[in-house]
Amino acid sequence: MRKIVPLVLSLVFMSTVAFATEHQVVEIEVTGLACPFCAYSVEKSIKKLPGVNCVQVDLANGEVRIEMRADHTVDLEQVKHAILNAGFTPGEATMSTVDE
Amino acid sequence: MRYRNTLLGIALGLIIFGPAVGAPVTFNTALPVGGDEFVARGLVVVSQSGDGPGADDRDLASTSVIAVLGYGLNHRLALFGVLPYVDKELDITMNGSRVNRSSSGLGDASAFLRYTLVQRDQPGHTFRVAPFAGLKAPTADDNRSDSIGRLPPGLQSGSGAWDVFGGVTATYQTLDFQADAQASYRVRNEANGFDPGDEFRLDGSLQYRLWPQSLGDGVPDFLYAVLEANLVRRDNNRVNGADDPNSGGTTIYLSPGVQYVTRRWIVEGVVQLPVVQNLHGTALENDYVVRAGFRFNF
Repeated sequence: MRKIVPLVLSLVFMSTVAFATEHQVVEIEVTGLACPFCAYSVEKSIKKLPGVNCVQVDLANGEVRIEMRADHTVDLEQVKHAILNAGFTPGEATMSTVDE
Repeated sequence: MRYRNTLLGIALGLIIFGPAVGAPVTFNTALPVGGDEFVARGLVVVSQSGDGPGADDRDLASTSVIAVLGYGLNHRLALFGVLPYVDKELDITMNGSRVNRSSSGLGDASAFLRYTLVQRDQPGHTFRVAPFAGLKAPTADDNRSDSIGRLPPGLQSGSGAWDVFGGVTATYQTLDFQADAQASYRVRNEANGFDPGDEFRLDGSLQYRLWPQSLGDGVPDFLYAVLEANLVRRDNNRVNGADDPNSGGTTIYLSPGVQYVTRRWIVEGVVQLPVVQNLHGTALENDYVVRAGFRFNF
């Protein structure tokens, strides 16, 4: 019994570390964006992509932050196409991963 | 007869390109409708005309409720449909007594395509040029009568004719202000022996962000001050093949207003004040036009 309890606790700790959810995040420049109504068009277009969890537009800096769901990876070409389809121009993008 | 022609011009002037998506209140814009996206607009236009040199002391009040739906066929090409509901009332002195004539109902439906020909995007600003062309169909009743007889063309809900129109609009938008300009022409065709004069327009609009004074993170709501100018030049009407000398002419409006823009909604209003009215003969002069409405991005 003395051996089992630490073993179980160790497994629980390891599983917590192993299954910590990671989300892909893309931050991409969008040019031509200059009013709230237009920002919503971009947001709406990106949200249609599969696996997108959250879209945040920073109007002043012309940047869009896209957070993917844990079980999805981002397709940057799809993101750029969504921005173009909304009527705006995608710029440089940076990708990162965040833990939840 | 003489007032008919002017009335038609004014009535049709209420349902020109104003009801479209974008930032100017009284005309079109070159800003995009996203591919496979919808934008809706509702607009109330109240017009009062009563000044003029005629001895019949005409007074025309008109209220239009205009519904517009825009759809992005792709990121450059958008299709717009326009359907007005029009209520018109004319008071006029005939044979020494005051007469009231009126009508209300759905007006003629219009549709037009707009293509973004030039798109120059930079961080925080954009410049776009978009030509457009469309049709107005004779979908409304153009043969209404009252106790006096058949209503004049200007009081009918529809014109009875197909019209074609087109033009080009340009937009320069920054985070602080937006400027728009448009040139357009409308060919208005004959129906029931009445041929309203064609119309040429030059429009300009400037919107300046009053609030917030500085931008923080995210997407704040914007409050714009709006100043627009419209030059409207109409040819003489023709009645049974003959020019009507008491119709047509040039009007210049100045239109101050406000616009509140959120991510999904725009609420806006302007008052169009005629500062120059160089009209032919005894054509009826306009007193003012009020436009108020909303836009919805869904």
